[in-house]
Amino acid sequence: MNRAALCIAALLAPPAALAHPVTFPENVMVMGEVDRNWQDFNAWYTFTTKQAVGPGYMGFRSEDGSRKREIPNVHYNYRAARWNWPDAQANIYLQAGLGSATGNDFSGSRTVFLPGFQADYETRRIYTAARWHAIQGGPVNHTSRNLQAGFAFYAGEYDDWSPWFILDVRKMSNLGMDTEVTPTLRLVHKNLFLEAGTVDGKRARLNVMFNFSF
Amino acid sequence: MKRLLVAALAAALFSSPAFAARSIKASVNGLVCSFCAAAIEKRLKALSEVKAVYVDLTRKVVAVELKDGKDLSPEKIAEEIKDSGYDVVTIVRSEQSIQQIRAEKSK
Repeated sequence: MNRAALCIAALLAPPAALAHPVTFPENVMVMGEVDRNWQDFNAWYTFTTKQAVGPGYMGFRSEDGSRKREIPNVHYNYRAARWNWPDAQANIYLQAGLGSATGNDFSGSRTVFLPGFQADYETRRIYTAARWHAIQGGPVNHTSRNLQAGFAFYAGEYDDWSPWFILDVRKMSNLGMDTEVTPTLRLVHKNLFLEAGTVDGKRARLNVMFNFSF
Repeated sequence: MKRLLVAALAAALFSSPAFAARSIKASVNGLVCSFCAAAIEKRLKALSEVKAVYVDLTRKVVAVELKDGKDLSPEKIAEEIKDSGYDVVTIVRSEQSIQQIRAEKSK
């Protein structure tokens, strides 16, 4: 794998892993995922039982810091399906977004389209999710795949802090990017969701989500 | 005769929905995650008739205690839970308080 491919791969981390991009009407969820090369901040306003919209910001840089991109964007999420069982829940989400990308490897800005798909299944002890996202527009044309699977250390009750171990695997296509593996500790307490992990044992990644209503 | 009248009035008063049911208890499918279930608590607490909300992931129960003299239909509670993304399997009125429903778990 050549150096340029490695730089581009590091530059373009996939979009943040959202637990549930559509929550409930009149709720706002804010989230931020940060590691040394990646910043992603979003606010989601859920305006119907199945739809959420909100602004976001993605910032990337290569591992050596020589290349940077910034993509302020607006996202729309649609919960296409939901299954509720006595001991489990599953969801399918479709996502679309528009952003304006700037970078130091091209001049000016480019409008980028941000389609996405997410499917998840969880019980009180098991969590699995599969995500596909793309960033497409002019010289910016990449897709990412993300798989998450993990387990809770115990079946936490509603008022408890619930600790989880999640293995996060991500890959950007057509970039020669190595697959990133991130063992992650997840803590959930009512409307607060915290994740901390180490990407390939090299750099820390933090993810915070918070729900609040007006 | 006077005692009979008072007893009849009391019976009529306390048999009305507002006094017969202190709470409404629902059995809910999909209740597996506190981050998601917080939606239910927030929506139900926003109702002016609601005194307290109890979510029990183990028993898959959501219970709402009503304020004194206030009432809500079980259908309204079911609608709020459904709008939060969950499926209501059964929903019943109960004379138990949230404290009593919570205490049942430790028995």
